[in-house]
Amino acid sequence: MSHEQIVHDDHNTAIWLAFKEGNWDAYTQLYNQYFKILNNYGHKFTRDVNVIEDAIHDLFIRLWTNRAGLGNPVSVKNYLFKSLRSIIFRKLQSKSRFVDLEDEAEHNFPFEISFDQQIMADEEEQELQKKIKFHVKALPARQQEIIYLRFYEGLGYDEIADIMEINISSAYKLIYKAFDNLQDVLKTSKLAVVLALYSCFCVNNH
Amino acid sequence: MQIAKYSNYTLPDFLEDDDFLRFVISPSHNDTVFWQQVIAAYPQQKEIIAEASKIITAYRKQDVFTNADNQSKVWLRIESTLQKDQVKSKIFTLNRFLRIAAMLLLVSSIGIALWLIKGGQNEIDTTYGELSTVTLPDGSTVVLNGNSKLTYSDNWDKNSREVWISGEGLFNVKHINKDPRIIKPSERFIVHCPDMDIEVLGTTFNVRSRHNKTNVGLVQGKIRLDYVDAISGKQSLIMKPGDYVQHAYKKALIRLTLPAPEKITKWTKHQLLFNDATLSQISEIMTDDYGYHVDFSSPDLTILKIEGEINVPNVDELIETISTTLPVKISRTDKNITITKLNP
Repeated sequence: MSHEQIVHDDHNTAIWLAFKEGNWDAYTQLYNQYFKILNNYGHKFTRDVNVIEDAIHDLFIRLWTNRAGLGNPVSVKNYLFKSLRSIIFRKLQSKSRFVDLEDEAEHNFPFEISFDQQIMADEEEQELQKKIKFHVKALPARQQEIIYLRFYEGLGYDEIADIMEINISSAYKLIYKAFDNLQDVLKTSKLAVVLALYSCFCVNNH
Repeated sequence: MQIAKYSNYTLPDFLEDDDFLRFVISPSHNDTVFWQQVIAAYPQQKEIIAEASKIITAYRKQDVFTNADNQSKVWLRIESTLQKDQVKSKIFTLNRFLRIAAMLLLVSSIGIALWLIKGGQNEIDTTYGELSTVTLPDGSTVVLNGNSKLTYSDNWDKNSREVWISGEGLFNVKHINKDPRIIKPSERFIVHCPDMDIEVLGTTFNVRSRHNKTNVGLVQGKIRLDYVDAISGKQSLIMKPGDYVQHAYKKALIRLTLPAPEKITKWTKHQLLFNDATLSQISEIMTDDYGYHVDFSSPDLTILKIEGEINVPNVDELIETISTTLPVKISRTDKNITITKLNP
């Protein structure tokens, strides 16, 4: 159903291979290419810049130290996202005092985007953004994350499943749940009826 | 891509569609053409498509956190960590024969070191062009440039952490102070140069101390310089990241701010980096760090300046850059360099 990559981002095979062979300049290039977007992704899990920087530091140390044994990921960016995510979780876990008592091995770490710095020229867009912000913030963390990976990073469901360490059908279920919860946003005056029909359709099929 | 399937797509259907998503996020020419065709074929879908597009676009206009200001700082940490590990792993990958040879070498150098230790002093010397990373008793590290010397006492238990340097070193000092209001002697870290003392609590900075002149560049953290001023006697100066100070004993202190402080540490990667440097400054580095002997056919050549940034990996390329940029001819035999004026 979904393609491998919706938005083809990096053609970094050459740099990745050079880095694996121990090319320090290639390694530096990788760092400089991905530093900002890794910070941006990390910032969704924690506002603590020290944790983000520590995680990026640990990630790149790991990369260099294990370079000989690394595979060749289809997308370097996704590989880095996935690694950074688990490193940040481990750090947040050791910081938090709570033991997770849920049956499923679900993390309870928040995922938060923000629109604080945005100044919308268009009033209609501003209203829409307010609505989106209000409803997205109310979603469970994992639904917020899948919305982000899907609509901001433009990733396919197989890529999302890989990064979030869930299987593909869970990814689909997760986004349906998110859409369900976002009905108020997806509603426009003319579409309310269509949406109600769609929900019924969904219910009948799951 | 099939046009027909979009005829009765709902809003969530569009949101779920890979091709639609790509069209909104980063359309190719084909995408744009395709979706014009969809709208032409099914005008009743035009509004839903517009709505879906608006929602996605509004969502995507969110805050971005790049942390660009700290990009170099985090990189220096990474480099520093890897240099430490490189030294460690070199020791452990020796094969059996080499291991024995290494042990013998270690034993004999311990012997020599013991002989050198006067009252528990360690001395590390580097030869021309040699880089060496020293790990101090508290875990702090110093990358020493060529032709440099670092001395420190073994016993750092009760006293403050002190080192003596001549030459150039990139310091990465461990911050051990627990209570900022009370600084215990053992938490201080002092670098002694012939013409000044540098006191830090924990930080990353570069010290270049040669010919009784010391230049200090602070990359991260905070340090205090204690020096003697030509007019006012003993002085102290607090430096913050990006500050760069040039000092000579009993001469006036020059203070600059560097836009990219990490550039002064490029030598740790065997890179020669200069910015608007004169031939005299460049030749000084070649002599002090690499042991070249540089002769100028006439003194007015030394003030020739190369505008902009030079960034080369070795002295050969440096010579190449100079001779192609300036009206000079450079001849070289081994470590002797002669620079003469090029006749017009």
